Amino acid sequence: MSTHLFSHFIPSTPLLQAAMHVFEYKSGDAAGMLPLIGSWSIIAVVILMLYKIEGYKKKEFILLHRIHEQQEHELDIQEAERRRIAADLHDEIGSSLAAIKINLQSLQYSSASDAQRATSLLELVDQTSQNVRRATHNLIPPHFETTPFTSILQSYFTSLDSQGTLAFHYYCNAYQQHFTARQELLLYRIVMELTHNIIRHAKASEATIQLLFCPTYLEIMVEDNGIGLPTAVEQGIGLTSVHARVRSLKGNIHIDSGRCGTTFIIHVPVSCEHAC
Amino acid sequence: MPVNIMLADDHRLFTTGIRHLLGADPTLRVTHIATNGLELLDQLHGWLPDIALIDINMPVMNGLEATRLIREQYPRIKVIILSGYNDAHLIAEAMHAGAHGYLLKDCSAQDLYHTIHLVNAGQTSFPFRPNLPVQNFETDNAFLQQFNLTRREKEILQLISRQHTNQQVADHLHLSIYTIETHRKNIMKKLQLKTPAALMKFILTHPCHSVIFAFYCLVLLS
Repeated sequence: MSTHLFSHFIPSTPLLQAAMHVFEYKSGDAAGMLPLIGSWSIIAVVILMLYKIEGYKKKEFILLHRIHEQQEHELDIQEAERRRIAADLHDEIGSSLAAIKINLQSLQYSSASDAQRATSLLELVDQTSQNVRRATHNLIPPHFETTPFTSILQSYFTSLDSQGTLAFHYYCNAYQQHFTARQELLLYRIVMELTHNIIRHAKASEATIQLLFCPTYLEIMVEDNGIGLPTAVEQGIGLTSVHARVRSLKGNIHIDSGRCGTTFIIHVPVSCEHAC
Repeated sequence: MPVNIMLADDHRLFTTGIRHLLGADPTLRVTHIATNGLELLDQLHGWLPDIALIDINMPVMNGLEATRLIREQYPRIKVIILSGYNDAHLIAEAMHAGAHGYLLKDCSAQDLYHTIHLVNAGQTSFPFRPNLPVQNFETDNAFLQQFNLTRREKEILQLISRQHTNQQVADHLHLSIYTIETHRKNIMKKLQLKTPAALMKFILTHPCHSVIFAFYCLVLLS
């Protein structure tokens, strides 16, 4: 009787009500205990499941983190490999080609037909060294570490501007050395990949690339007036390496795509030692 | 008197080839050969060359660094960079280091002679680059152009001057509100304005013809 009265003054949370039931059924028969055991076991199962889910979430988080670390590591390996191949290409093949050409030019030919053959050989050497130069540049622009990546982009867009039907506008405000060479390479690759995507897929006639240095972050804004991204890409499929690189820089990316074109806004924070 | 020339390149076959090639011109004479920047500087005692042909990529000390030091210590020596790279930023850096010329390693013999004589005569010679003034932004509004506003930013400025809210601008341009907000922030940064009120004041007080015209139209209509 007293427990009944008591229960009116206590907030009716399920746990408390269950506790009340314990008092109530203490003096009752064994059959009366069944609903009590049932409700308790349900609560126990729910708590167990919640606990399990929490565990899975933690595991998922750890795995995701590991995948991201792996991706970052992969990017670093890829860049190191590119650098090595570019150096080999330039130092071994490029230099040898130059030496071949210079020596071919200094030879004296006894007959006109020999001279003719030498000329066509020279043309072939020229063509090959141009190919080597282009391949090397695509792997990594020469002397990247000692040049601000914004000036490399500037000369790239200037060279693009004079050809093709797609007009690129490039703007960078005052360059500041906020980032390490590794970070600058990531930033350069992000801009280049977005640019290549515009050239390949966007069907745009105009594109604007802006790099705005702010005191605490760098904003990269890439706009085009093309057909917009496929829905799958918008939802995060594709552009994997752009996402991985942005993540590696601890930045964030905002994609705004529609039938009038696509806008990428990327913010990359300046690390503390550079900002202060 | 022949022109005395110094070569610096880490590929012996290349320097030998250049030497043979230059030997064909009686007015040119190769006097020094080095395989890296440091060796080159070590050789510069007493008898100085008139012209140094230097490669960029060399071990120990690269060509750009060597050029800087030569120009500092021996300003009489003229430097021509002879490189495998054809990149605008490297050509600019060579100029900056004080070089008088820049030649690609796969240039023709004629170009080589020509450049050497040109530089020896006191001129400079760099690869031609169509370095057009980059027409990033339209020239219709000279006043706005000094702020480096993009076409999109001017468009948004116009819509703001018509009292459009961010949402209305976003709908009009088929963009998200976040993009418009970012653009707005960038416009304010480029115009060096701090508050939205300052932006309105800027629109009203500055001669941004098309913007003002649109605004007057609105005033007249309402």
